[in-house]
Amino acid sequence: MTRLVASLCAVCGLCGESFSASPLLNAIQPRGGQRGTEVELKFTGSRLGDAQAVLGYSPGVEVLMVSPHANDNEVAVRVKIAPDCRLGEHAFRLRTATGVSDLRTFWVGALPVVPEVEPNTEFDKAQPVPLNVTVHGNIGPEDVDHFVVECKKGQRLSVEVEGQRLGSGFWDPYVAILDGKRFELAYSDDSPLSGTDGGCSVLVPADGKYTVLVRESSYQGGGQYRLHIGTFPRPTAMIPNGGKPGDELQVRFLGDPLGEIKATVKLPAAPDPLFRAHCVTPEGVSPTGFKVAVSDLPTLVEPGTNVNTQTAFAVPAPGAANGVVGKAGEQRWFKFAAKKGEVFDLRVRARAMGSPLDPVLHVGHLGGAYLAGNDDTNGPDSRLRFTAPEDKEYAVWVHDHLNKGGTDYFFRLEVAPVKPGTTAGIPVVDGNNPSNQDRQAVAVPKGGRFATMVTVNRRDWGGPAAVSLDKLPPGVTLTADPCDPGLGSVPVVFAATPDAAPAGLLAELKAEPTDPKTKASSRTGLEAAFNISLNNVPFHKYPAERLAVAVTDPAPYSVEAVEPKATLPQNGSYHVKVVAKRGPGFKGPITVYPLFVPPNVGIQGSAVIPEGQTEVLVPTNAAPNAQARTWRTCFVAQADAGKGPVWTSTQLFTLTVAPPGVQVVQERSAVEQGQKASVFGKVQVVTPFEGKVTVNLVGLPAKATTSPKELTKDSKDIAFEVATDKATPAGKHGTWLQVVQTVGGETVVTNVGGAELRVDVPLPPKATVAAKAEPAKPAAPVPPAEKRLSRLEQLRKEQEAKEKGGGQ
Amino acid sequence: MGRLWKLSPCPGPTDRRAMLKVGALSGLGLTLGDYFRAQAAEPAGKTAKAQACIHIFLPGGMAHQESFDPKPYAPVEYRGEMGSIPTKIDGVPFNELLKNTAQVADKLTVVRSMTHGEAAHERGTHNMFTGYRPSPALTFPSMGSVVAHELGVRNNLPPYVAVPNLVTNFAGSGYLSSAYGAFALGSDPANKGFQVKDLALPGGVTPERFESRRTMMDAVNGHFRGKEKSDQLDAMDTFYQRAYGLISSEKARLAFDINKEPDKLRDEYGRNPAGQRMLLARRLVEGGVRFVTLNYGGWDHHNQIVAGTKSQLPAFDQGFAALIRDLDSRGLLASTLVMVSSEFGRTPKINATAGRDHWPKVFSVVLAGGGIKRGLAYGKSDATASEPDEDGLTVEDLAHTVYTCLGIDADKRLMSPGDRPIDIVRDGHTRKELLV
Repeated sequence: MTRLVASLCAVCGLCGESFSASPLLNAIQPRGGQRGTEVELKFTGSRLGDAQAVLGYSPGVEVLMVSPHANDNEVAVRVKIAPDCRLGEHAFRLRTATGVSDLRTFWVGALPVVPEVEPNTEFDKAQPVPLNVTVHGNIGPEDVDHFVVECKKGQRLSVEVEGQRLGSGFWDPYVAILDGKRFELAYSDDSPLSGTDGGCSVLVPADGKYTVLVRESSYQGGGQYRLHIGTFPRPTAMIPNGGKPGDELQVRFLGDPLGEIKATVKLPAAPDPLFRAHCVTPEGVSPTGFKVAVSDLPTLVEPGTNVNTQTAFAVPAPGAANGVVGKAGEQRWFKFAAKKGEVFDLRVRARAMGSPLDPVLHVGHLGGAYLAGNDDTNGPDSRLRFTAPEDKEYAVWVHDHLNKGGTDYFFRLEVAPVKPGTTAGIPVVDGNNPSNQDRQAVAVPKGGRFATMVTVNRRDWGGPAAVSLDKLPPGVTLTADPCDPGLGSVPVVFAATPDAAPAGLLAELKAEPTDPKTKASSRTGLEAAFNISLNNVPFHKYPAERLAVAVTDPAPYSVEAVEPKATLPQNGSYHVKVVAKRGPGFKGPITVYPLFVPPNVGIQGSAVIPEGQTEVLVPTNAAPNAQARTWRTCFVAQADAGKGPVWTSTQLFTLTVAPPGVQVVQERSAVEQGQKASVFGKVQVVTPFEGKVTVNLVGLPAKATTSPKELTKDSKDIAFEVATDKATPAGKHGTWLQVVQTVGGETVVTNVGGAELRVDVPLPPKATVAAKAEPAKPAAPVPPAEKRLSRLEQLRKEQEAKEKGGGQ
Repeated sequence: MGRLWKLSPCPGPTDRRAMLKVGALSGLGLTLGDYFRAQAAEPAGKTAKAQACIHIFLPGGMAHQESFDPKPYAPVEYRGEMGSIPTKIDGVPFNELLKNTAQVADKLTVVRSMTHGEAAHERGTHNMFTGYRPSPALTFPSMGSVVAHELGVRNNLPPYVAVPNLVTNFAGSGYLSSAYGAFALGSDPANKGFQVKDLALPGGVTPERFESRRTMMDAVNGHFRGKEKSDQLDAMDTFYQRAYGLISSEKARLAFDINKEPDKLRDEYGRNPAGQRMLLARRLVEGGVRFVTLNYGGWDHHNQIVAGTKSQLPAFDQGFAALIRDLDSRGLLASTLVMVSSEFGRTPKINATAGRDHWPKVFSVVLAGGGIKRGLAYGKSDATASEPDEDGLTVEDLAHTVYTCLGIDADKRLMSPGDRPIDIVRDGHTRKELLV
């Protein structure tokens, strides 16, 4: 089936009339499944008819079958979830013959799935379900779903919902456990651990039926949910919540109705944003795990008595301490020794780890003066950079922003050395919609290219950064210049050989210092945002952390930028030509966009290669202060070849900004309406050239004319005769010169000079002039042409003549 | 109830006051009587060159670069992707799509140095409609309402009409009585079957019954007149007469009936919202309306300004050029001031989403007729259309000039609530360079 689809699309690619591209994946149904089972999934969206494979972001879910539906909008996928598959969110993309789809998620749980069955809106008509199941249901406006379970006295009854986190649309679930008389024993709207999703647990007070309800928190429109109902533990704190890579961490889970639970958590070998520590007991597994800080810092756990400066708990520097702000109004004190000039990042991780604590961090001399504090640099969490002013011990203390406290107000204090790092990512195409995943994956057509900007976000280091991927599909190459020290992004072009096999993979995108002496870690900063609500805030994100790269069928066209032969003069312009090669039958318009525009350079935002044509000239200019240097950039191109936009790109081409080859110092000039005037300039040929160049005087007012002049490499002066009309607008007019050169058949324009041309209204004739009219004299012989005088020299000469004439 | 209604000698469930709630005024709780009572001021502007004004407002902030002030020599990131064409004013190019307007440019004054400091939509709109910066202390009347207040009613027609509706609250009557607010059509003349419904008699009221009600009212008024002599009673009677006039006057109603325009002319204006609104505006001022505010399109092109401009500017161009030619050929241009304005201009540089953002520092307005010079380019923006270079025109001076054209003393003070006199325009001056 897969082969059949691929061959069909290869034919379509050739005919160029119905080339499918840019597959859209909207949803994966059902939204989750139990580990250790096989699940039939339906991937829905559009332009999915040529689906070939599923790209999965995490292990444990094996894809057994990918079968696109003929309607182009559905793909049937069968997956086998391993019994030890990581619980929680798993992400997938579809790779089609012609592209890579958006990222969508699927949830893996520990409990068997049962469907919600309406009617269950009334308390009395609650749907009976056994304990330890996950209900897949749906909430509509003003809808309440009830489920009834049989429980024994002393048993733990836990409920937890995944609604907002499913990423299928914004909605805020509310859950509650009711007794037989319809009293709420426990309820939850939001939770620090699971965001706007909630969960709650009770110790069952007596044998009997208990009802679990789920609804939207304000009875508005809802969405899909996965509701876990069972006897599983639901702790709300984990101490410690950090350790070294690969550690077997001895932890205490707090906040469960049955009390503290001790356990061992095996940490991953490297920091992993998707790793979660779940509480496992014979009764079950907590559905939402705790994030764990994995780093090389030695980790201690506070004794709990460190509530003032005298009892401050010593932390190695660098090092970390885990603790709890145990009751309201309490502070937790720590101390560390540092030498003068040592720099540490002091961090408190609490809310980000699922703690109710909104920490405030302070640092000062132990038993002495206050030095610094921080509340919310990392969201609600605190961070400050501390430089030790002298060799001694320093105190650090932590409390809640509202002086709250409790047994689960856990936190982790880190005294960490400053570690340079870089996050590399791909900018979101639509800045107004963070959930837009357009071109967040790389789809390289065979024999073609795909280009994207890569953002390089450096922390605590500077310098050029080289962009790379840890792996690429066979036949695919990546071309990118190092990202300039002053810039935060760089264009990257992927190319695939014509014989590259269809393939796709997930790769780590890195941006590392080119200087081997500079050490900086690098991570991929890609995430998929879901459930956009007020102020464009996404209420759920998946940290993708890897870039999808695929080889697709050949595109119905390709584009090439013609390398400019000329340099781009500062304060000048030229055109860059983009040439298209069209596949058989493809005639549609192709729009090209500059991917990267260097600083102080301008490239027209888009240009269209019209239908049936093969090239377009793109205006490009440099500001006077553009740095004289070479840059490399490219154009991305988009065309609709029948079904969806087909994106490709040109190669990286060189754009060299250079000082102007000709400089002209233009002089100010003035003319009376109806008269003629000369506009002069002193020419300096900086870069000798062959032949002649044309110079135009531009900026003249209406009804003022002149004609172009020419310069050679030996020219020293230039003069334009400007003829005005009686209606030429009086006033000051800004004029300048355009030097037009042809280099290798390309026209390069340099703007030089720049001076005012003043147009004056003639003075009215003096009345006495007529009275002194004398008989006409024979015309005086024309004096030989004198050296051209500047305006200043003319005025001086006139003044001298007046003075010689007796000062009249 | 229906039976009672049928048998009742009384006009029916619609009482006299309700019957006179006309048009959008009913939304203000006003009857047409209130409306005309408030507008019975002594007309000013007897010696004015402009007897009426058509204010074409382009909401959202039209880019000056992509309309009346292109900069073909500016760098590409400033000038954008669109080209320019010469016009009948030498040395003053327009956007490439303003082909028709370019041919009537010799009848226009193009101001390319309009400036104010308000980059938010509602504040820019306030500036351009009222001539004032917004104030938290006072709501200012729009120019249309001031004109209604100062010039009053002509030919039984409301002095201030909004086509097709009020685009903003700042086009309202501000501290003046609501009675000076715009008569909003509430229906787009570009729609098939366009009708200003509220001008017709209420459902079930035949002309005969209407006349019978009027006779009854005369009887009631006559009774009171016999009992008591009061100017107010006489005035009230007059206002009702005027309201009746609008409803019952065939001529007044005809002013709103765009279907009476020849098809050829309607085609010339363009069978689209821009063209038909402008055509109706001409018809209204020809009928006697003093001030028509019409709005067209949405010009807030933060994204894809070329596509946005291409989708809207051609219709504006066709309609506006047709309006100018039509007014001129009827001899109405000399007595009709036409003003094209927007909230503000747009940023000198094209942004990352191929659009331009808000930019009030400099933008363009166009004036024509009603005492304004023909074929003038007034003021300049700088080389990148970023700031005024010459003759920056403030909103106060623009409003002052408009009022002067209409024969209204813009330095006059109107009484605001609390008996506080407020200048029609504060610290404004008429730009005589703009006037014939």
